[in-house]
Amino acid sequence: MVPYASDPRWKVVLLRKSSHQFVSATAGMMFARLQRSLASDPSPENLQTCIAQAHAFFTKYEVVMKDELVRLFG
Amino acid sequence: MLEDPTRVAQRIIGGERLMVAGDEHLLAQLPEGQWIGGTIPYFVSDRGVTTRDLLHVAELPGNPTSVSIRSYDVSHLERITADAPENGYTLLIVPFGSDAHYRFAREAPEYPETFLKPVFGWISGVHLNDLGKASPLVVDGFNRKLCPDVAVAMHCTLSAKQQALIGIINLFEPGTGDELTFEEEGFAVEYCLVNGQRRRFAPYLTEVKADTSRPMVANYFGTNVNVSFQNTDLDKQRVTLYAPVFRHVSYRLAAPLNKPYEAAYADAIGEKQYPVACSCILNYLYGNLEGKMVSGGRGAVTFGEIAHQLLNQTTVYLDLIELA
Repeated sequence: MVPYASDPRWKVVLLRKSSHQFVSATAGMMFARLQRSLASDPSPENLQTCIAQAHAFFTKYEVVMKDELVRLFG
Repeated sequence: MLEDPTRVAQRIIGGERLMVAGDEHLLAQLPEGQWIGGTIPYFVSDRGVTTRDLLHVAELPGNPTSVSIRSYDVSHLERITADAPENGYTLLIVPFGSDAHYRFAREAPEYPETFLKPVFGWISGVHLNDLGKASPLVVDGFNRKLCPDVAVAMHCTLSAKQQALIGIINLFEPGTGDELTFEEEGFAVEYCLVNGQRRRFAPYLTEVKADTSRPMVANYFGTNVNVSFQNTDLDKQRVTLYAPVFRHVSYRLAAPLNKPYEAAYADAIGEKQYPVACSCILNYLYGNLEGKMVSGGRGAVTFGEIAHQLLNQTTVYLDLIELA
């Protein structure tokens, strides 16, 4: 299940400098782009925008990304 | 698959929706219809093939419920993902060396809904003997005009029971050498940060005896993304690349392959066939694939690959998932 966009875990996964490895190429590329965006603009507003984009992505692909979600959020 | 142009024309007249790759003079002869195309004479069928007499034809995966074909000039490329269907995929062909190519490469990661909407495609090219003499071209099957300076897209809507996903096959991994970062983005680099220290990039590559047949590689959370070397000019102190480098990305020179290039390519590609795939001309050349048997990843051999954004030295494929 995709955590709600308001779930604080989104902030944790987007801001941590982890070496998380997605299996999905698209998920990896998307996360990299979001982290580049946050490196350029770490404002709370941009963080919310990035969370919304990540949430939308995993919501759309929830079925095919269910294993990715488990590994990402535990 | 590679087909005779007459047969391709019949398929178009019969209403088939196709993505076509081949020589300019063959594309120019195809009739009006629901197809897009790009120039390139290199292909992987059951082996590496160079031909100006056959066309590579890709059918649209998943039998889309609707298809729309659009061309985008350099000022409107960001509309590609906006115009893409909510559930489906977009096939995109962009001419190598065009302003559209360079703008797409730099800006695609920032387009609205990039990554949310799959965009698969390739960069059209020419026979290497024709570099500087012929222009890479793309064509919209409705107006049949061969263009050097627009991107052509086929937006394909899928039923709710299907989703499209893009996959990447990459021979290369980041090596264990210096971390390379860049303060300036783009295809041409003068300076880089080597482990945080500012250096001129061309002399650095010479100093470390970099094998520039291998790319720089960035690990995007498990996805290795290459930036391939085009030219190192010590006189002009500039390195030109086949894809842009981005700020806030950590690159390393690729690790050496643990077997000959050709064998490494065969191992990475495997035998699986995909509904649509394309592979990089650099792998074709460095792997000496001309005439060699190749099992998987059949499709056009291109001057760049598109998996949401421009990639280098990879094989990219589009796959379909049937939802329960």
